[in-house]
Amino acid sequence: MGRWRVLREPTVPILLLACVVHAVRRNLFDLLLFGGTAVLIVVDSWRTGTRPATRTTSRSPIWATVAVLAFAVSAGPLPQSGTAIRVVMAAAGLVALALVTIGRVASETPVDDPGDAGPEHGRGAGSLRAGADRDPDHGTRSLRGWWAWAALGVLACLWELTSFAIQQADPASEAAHPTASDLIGPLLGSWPGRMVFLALWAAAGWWVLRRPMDAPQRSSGAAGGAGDESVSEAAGDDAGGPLEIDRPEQAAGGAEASR
Amino acid sequence: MRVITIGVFVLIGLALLATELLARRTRLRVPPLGAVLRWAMRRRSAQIGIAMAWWWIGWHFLADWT
Repeated sequence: MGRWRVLREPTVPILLLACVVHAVRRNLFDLLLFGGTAVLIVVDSWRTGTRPATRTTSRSPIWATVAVLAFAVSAGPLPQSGTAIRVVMAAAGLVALALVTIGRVASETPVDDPGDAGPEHGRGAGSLRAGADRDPDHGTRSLRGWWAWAALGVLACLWELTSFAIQQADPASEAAHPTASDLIGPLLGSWPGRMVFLALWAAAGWWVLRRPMDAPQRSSGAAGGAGDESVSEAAGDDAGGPLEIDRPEQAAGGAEASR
Repeated sequence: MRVITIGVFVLIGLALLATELLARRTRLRVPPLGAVLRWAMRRRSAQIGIAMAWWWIGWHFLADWT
């Protein structure tokens, strides 16, 4: 059953739910992409051993900013949905795939991670602390209010799905019930709009993709509380410093995992 | 009806912005979005899933927009 432990994490179920939406949209590419990613996550969780500790990203925000802007300026003029932009985006996707899967094994799925119940786990029961939450007056704060972000994300998804469902039921009502895609897509019809979008997209990608690479190398044989060690180092280069884990709680997580 | 539909999207966007500002500027127990994402991405499954979602957004709007 340990081979399927990753299915207890939220990512794969969320991807499978998205597959249902893409099936309704009759978009085979998106369906295969999301379904394939779910399969990739499961297969990836079976990997063992360590990966070379190569490091290919730059921590320098200046170089990252230059790279992001250069990408936006060079790809922005390419026509929307044209062959050129598809090649560029496909190449970016392949690079991302390589960085995520071939790069370091960042933090394999922790076994019975004490944080499974969410960051609002309470003191002494596995709460994580984020250095980015640190403010000079308060010291370090916990991630207790994470549900506010989750609630807004779910609300946005539900509203998007509502508009989409109404469109499916009554195609004539598309103008009255636009989805977010219907509203944002036309803004990218001009090259300035595409440049701004690409800059934001590339910056987000830089933030997301450097995490697997910046994580410390570790053996997959270590499980449980040890999995959390990668959190503190993987996240350590952002504005607020490293994520912190209370030692007693970390120990509790390891004890739980060893059961 | 279109105004209401768009208005809700705008309200959600403003709520997201307000939440980030509250997290950064006040003492409310709300973490910044970056901290929440970092926390979620301690898992490898989330790293892969979020990376794919990021790429798909770019593909969806620029390469696959019809």
